[in-house]
Amino acid sequence: MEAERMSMGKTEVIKTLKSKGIDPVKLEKELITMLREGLGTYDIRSHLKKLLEGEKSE
Amino acid sequence: MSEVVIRLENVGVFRGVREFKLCKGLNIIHAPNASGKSSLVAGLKVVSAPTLSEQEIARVLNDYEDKGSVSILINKNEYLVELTRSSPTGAKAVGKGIIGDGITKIISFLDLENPLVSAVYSGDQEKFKQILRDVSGVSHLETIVSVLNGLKAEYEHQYEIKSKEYSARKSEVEEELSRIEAELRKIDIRINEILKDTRIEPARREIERIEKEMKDLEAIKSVKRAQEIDLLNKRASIEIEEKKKIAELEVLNEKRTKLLEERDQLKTKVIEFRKKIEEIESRIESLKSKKEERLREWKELNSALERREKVSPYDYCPYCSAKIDKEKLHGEINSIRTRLSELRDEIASIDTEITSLESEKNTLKKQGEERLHIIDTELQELDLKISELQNTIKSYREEKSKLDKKLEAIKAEITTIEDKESILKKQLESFKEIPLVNELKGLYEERSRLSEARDRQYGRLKQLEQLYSDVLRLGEIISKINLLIEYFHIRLVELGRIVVEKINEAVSKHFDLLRLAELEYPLFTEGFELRLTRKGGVVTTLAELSDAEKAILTILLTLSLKEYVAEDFPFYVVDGLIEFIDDARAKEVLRYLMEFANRSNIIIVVTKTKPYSGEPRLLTQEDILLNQLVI
Repeated sequence: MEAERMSMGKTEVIKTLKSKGIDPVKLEKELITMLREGLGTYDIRSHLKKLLEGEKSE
Repeated sequence: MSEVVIRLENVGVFRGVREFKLCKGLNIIHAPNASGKSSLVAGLKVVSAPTLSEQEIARVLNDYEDKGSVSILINKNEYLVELTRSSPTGAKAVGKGIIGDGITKIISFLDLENPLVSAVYSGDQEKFKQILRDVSGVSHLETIVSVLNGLKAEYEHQYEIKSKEYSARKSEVEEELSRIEAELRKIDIRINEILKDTRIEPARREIERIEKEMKDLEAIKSVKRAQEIDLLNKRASIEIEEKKKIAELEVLNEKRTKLLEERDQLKTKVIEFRKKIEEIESRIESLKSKKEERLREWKELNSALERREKVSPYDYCPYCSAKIDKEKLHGEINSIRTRLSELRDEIASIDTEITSLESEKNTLKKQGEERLHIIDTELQELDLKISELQNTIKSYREEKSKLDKKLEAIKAEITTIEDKESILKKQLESFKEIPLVNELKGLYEERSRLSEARDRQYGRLKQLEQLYSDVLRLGEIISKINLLIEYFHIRLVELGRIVVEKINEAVSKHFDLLRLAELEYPLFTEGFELRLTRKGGVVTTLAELSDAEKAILTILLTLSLKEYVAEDFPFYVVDGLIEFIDDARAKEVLRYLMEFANRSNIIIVVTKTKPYSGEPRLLTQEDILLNQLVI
């Protein structure tokens, strides 16, 4: 039940974020890859800032 | 993929080029100590995971060489990584490897350098849990959430400042506007009272016409003032941007001047540097030939020593039957050993000198031609940026000039309206002997002043719209961050549970290994907590497992993780661990790995030391046994 509710919540969040120009699933992959390649929190922060301020469209 | 060819050049114990073939299935490298088993594995690792540290790469390169390479041919695709010593303790790997992340290194290369293996062998459950969280991506998600929380705090602070500023400035303008509007209303009421007064009767029609025209002109002037303010605002924003670009341009021009000066100075020095580099190169060459001579001498003396050591136990030479003078022989052996030790020191000191000269040469290259090349590239980039900036500034200036023309036209229109107002006021003055006309004239002047003040306040309100859009933009960013935090929180909960379930599921598929480690399913609880249970339900810990059980558990876990995160990676390597397992269980583990390799279409490589008492020798293709259970 809880898992189902969480899954529904996630679908809603993804839908809302997509309507605001952000694909969170793609973003998650990008950020995890960056961290696995050894990049640090500074790079993650810059990447997120660019995305949030609309310098890069998803 | 049925086989791969791995080509090693100056890797590990191998000097020069060596080629080995690995086939689908279980490849057991069964060879003596120091023959190159781990060198082959190191080569495989460096071409698979180029994210190794400089120290790790340096350990892959042969101790006596500064350059090397590893290539792998899989399904007609070649992956090549070139290794170059960058410092006495570090080396760099450049080229195309099979994968790009550091996970595969942990789950597909089980050797004693592997942090997961170290964690298991030291019984460190916390470290073990942390590695699993890294591999599954959970700790990375936590990092992302922490960065998002930091950004949220930053944007909320900006939002608070901007919205406070907006509210304060807006209420100030609105108060002023409401005061002006109230005064304007009073003036209009008074004008209407005067117009209804019987005392202005002789000139009523004329005064009413003047009032109507005055009101119409005021309305037109108000529109024109709004247009003027709008254009002035636009001009001010362009001017701000222009000033920013001019400042940028000045910095770039200063940088350009400095680079040009440096380039001129360098050009005079480069010839001197070239001569020095040539001298260093010739010195390196002579040192290398000296080293070759010493190495030749070392080899000759070494074989002479071996010959003498072989015959030393005998009284008569087993080859020529001559009597052996033991005292003389031992004297020779000692003097050869002394010379060998001297030679080793000499070779090491030559190597040190070569490294230092190479580093001097590289420094000179970097200071000379390489620096010149860098400066030229930087100048080209700078010129491009400067030209772009100049064009932008030019377009700002053109836009400003267009706005100036429009502003001039509007100002001219306002002047015309004001001239018309002056004429109307003069016309009104001609009725000054009529009572109340002087008061009316004063009221018109006051109304005109207040209207202008009201228009200016409307202009300020328009300027505040920009600030308001900033507030809205920040609010939107905060809302996106909140959604992202929510998303990543959901993912964290999901991963904490789902990944554990998947790993437990994968573990259950390797039931035979679980049985060999004498443990029961499942191994993990939510949050990657390791729960080790012996048969019969007795709970145990990593530290309490035997070395053999630890080795089997490591193999079991990495095979399970591999299925979860790196299923397509073609290799799985176990270097050294199999030695920790007793023969009976080792045979079962190898059989399991052989079946797994054939089932999963991958290449499994296991190293196993072969007891050997002969002359040291290097690994050959014959030492790699395919699908044969050697115990």
